Amino acid sequence: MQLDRTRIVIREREFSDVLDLSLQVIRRYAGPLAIALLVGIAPLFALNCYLLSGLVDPHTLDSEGPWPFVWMVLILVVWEIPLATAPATLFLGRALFENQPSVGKVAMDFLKSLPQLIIYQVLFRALLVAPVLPWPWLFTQRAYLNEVILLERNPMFRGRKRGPSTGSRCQALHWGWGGDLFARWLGAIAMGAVMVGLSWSILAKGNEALVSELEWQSLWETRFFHLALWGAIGFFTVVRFLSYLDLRIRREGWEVELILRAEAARLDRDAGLGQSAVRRPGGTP
Amino acid sequence: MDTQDRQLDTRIEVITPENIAFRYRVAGPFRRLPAFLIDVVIQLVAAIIIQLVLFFVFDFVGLLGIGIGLYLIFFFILMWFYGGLFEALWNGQTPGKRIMGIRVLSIDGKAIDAIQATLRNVLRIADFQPVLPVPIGPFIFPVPCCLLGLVTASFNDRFQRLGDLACGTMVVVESRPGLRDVMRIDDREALRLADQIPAYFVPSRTLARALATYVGRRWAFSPGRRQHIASHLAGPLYDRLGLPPNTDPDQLLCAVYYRTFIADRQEEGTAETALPAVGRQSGVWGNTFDVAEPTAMDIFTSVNTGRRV
Repeated sequence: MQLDRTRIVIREREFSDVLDLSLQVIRRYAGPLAIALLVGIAPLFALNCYLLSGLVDPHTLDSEGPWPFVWMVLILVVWEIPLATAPATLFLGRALFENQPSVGKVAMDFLKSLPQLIIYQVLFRALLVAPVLPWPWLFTQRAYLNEVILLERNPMFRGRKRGPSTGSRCQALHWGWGGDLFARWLGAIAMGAVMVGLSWSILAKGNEALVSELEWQSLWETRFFHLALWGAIGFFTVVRFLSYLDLRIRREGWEVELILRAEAARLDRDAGLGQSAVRRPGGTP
Repeated sequence: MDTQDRQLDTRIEVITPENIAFRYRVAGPFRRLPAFLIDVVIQLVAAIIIQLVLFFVFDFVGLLGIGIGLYLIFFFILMWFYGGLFEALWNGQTPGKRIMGIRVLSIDGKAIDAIQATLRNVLRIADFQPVLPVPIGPFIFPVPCCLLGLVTASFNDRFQRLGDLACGTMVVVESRPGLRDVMRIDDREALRLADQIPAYFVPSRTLARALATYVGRRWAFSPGRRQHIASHLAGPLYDRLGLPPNTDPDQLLCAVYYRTFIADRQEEGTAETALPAVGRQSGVWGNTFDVAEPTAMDIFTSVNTGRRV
């Protein structure tokens, strides 16, 4: 592993640059990313379909329109995002430094992070997602909590030797950047809404040409909304990961740290080989 | 370099026939979107103003039919040739692109000609596909999904949509990155430390780059964060430079930087080699080799100070 030769160039980026780079990342890792997303999303997709099966009655949809269903799906999905995208985030974390991340290591990382994921991102998050009003706080002041839990793996409670807890680390990472993160969140919502709307429409229109019965059409359109929503979330998982890196670069100079650590490793290695990275004039580099 | 080994970035390198390499930041679909939206707004405002003027004038002289005809011709030209006209006249820029600081270039780095400018804009209609009919009230509006353009742009490193591929063009971000000057070191302790560094000391190229990157960015970090980052490199340097291990890491790196880029050059009276561009990544970092020590997860946990920066 060479710290200053990451698979994705580490540097400060604007949000539009992050979005564009996400397309390249998705292209490079299309297969593994799709599998990681599928592993995370498929069980929750099935769970949502089961939980909301009562709302998908064609007669209900015809009388009340799709909006109660859409709203319920949205609340459920916002709650489920961290868990559903955890495998993909772990994969991206390893893919940044490794040529071919192993499935076993990603699975082990997931299991190690699972207790904190359940406490922070399932139980605690449910309390914040259900009333809707705390969403802006959740998506700005805890925007990268998932990355902190999965990639940094701080302890649950602060200790003298163990370093800061996940909570304090997360607070330190986001502190003072609320405005910037809020603007990015609004941009992501706008972009996401357009993506979901267009892909839902494309899927529904395509289906309209194939399935003529109205009841089936209504039923399928609700499934298509699920698919469109999860598709957009898959894209924004990559965006969120790259934005997390960007925040660490801007805030903590992570790219500088990587370069210095790589250089330190070179010096150590040279010392082990009896060479010197500090050249003497006329000597070999 | 193998495609899989290439670092992912929105920067590309264009090598001219003269074997000169230029680096460009290519503008992807999301960077181009605001420029496009600005151009759409300008087109709509222009269409409305011209419509009002033509209708008012020709209605006044009793020739409203001619006014409508002229307006339709103007509208056709505006919708189909606005982009091509501006890009041909303004060296690859429309008003939207100029505001957003992006420009269309040929893939070999040259300015585009009128044919390229016109064709890439006419072919935009293909990139808009599929277009969905969206009913809003009594009207049905065609809404372009731009799926074809987005997918096409995602499949190449230059983010070329179909129009760009057909014309051999790409959109780049205009930036004027300059080499920064050598950073000033005013810390007296660092200057004193610099005097203690052995006279034979000449850092390797990679070490010099690392020092330049650190000193160029350290002003943005808190004192605690500086100590944390600098300690990674300071550790191996203590032994080599014969300095006590309780030396301040930040001051040590500043001292080494001062010796490397300022003191030695003042003594020599000339700069023998080009200074590394602080804050820029060249993509080439000299002789490098694999380091097997830290794992990926260790790297993410490297910031565990919990300090507010």
